[in-house]
Amino acid sequence: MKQTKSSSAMPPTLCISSGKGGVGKTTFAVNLAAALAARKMRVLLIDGDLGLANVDVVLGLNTSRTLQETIERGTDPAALLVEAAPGFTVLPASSGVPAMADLTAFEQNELTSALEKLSRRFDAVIVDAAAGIGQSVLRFNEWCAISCLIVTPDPTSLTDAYALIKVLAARLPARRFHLLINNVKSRREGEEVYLHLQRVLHKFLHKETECLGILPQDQAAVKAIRQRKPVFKLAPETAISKAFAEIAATFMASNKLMRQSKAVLSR
Amino acid sequence: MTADRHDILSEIEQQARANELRCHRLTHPRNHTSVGLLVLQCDIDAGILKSSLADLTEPSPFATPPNGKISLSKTGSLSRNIVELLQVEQARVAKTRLPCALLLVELDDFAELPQSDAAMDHLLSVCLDNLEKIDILSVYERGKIAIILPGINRHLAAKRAEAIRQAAIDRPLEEDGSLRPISVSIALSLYQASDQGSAAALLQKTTRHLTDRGTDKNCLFFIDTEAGKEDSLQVTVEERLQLFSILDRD
Repeated sequence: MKQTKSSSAMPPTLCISSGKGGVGKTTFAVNLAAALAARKMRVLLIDGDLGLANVDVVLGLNTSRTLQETIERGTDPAALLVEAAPGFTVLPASSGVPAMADLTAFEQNELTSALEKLSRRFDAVIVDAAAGIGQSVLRFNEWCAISCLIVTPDPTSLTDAYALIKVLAARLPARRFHLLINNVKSRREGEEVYLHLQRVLHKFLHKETECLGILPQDQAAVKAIRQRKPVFKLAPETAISKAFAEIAATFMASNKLMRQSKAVLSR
Repeated sequence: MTADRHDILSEIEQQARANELRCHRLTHPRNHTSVGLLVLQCDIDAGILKSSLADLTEPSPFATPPNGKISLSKTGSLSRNIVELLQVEQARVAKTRLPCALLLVELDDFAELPQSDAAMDHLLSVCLDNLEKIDILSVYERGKIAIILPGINRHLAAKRAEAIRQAAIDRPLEEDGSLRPISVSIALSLYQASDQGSAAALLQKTTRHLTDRGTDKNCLFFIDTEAGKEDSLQVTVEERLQLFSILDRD
């Protein structure tokens, strides 16, 4: 593995969560990572669904070593990395291991400490968190600098995303959450869902959010999952792939801006 | 200090003085033996540094656990000021909004036990076996141990308290070759972000429940939070109605 980086500064870290399962977290995480890697960034995708991982499934990877080794034996997570594509590295987790889904606060801290060291070797780190509001979801959101929540227009997804923001906002009062509206029929529907959720969040929780992007319903995405490949690679000309490319560009631009402002402040 | 170390210190002192550096012998505040050598390359008041070092070299009265039998590797030294520890925990609760629990564990009939130190050792051992690495333990008073459980809700705290109560029953105290059954009484208070009381008030409130039990043994008390109920982040009916109002437009 060749990821070496002269700077030891923490790269941008993005935690993708949703509350509800099956809304497209892993699809988004995988495709965003692929889109960033296509822009010559060294991206680490951490499978944060520690007990029911499926990043490796979506990417068609055969992984035998997982983060379970880090928890149980203290293995350096760098030894577990799998290269999915040039510049796109995956840190796999285990599937069907209940103990991994229920780590103690101490184990979670040990894990994030180990990940912090590893992350410095990359330009961007994405965590694909588990569904729900379990401790691992909360802890990964605390660890990452950016929290992104995936929402679909379904009432269950809206409620669960709202509930997750409510819980996270109590722990991270200064955090500005990013919303990604997925599986919409049109851009207009996506905008309406975003603005509506924003209004409710503002009214009850006094929280402002940012819209990271809107992803349309696309059969190409369904097909890509069945073929275990990122749709961004498989069908780059589709509307959804273009949306991923746009989000990657926005993500890079905003982080470049953030780095520049930090550099100005530190002078 | 051994003769060897004394010789080494003298040699360093000679070399330092030969190089025109200021040297100060540091002595123990009680027995006045040399404990170190301070070589200064800058103009600092050596008296201040010496007194700081004296604080460090002065052995803590609680550095050694009772009878040296208990390993306190999980919790550090005994008899830490529980009020200060609670204040730190309260600050963390305010910041993270994760509640913490305070358990006061008292050995029943402590005054009647002939070997009180051995009984405290035993109680510590019982408690330590039921703690996690992040939990904080301190001897509170004779026969009492205070435990802070960070980031825990009422249900889990009650389970832990029950585990300690049961462990005390399951592990009789060894006394002159025979086994003496023991029991503990525990008072449990939850502190959450919406609570406003001071650490001392929380401790006092929790202690009162143990004191008021009189001669009752093997008790477990749950003390209500100030707000009367746990902080809830439950999505309300009103919030749901607002969220779903977008669906009515279709």
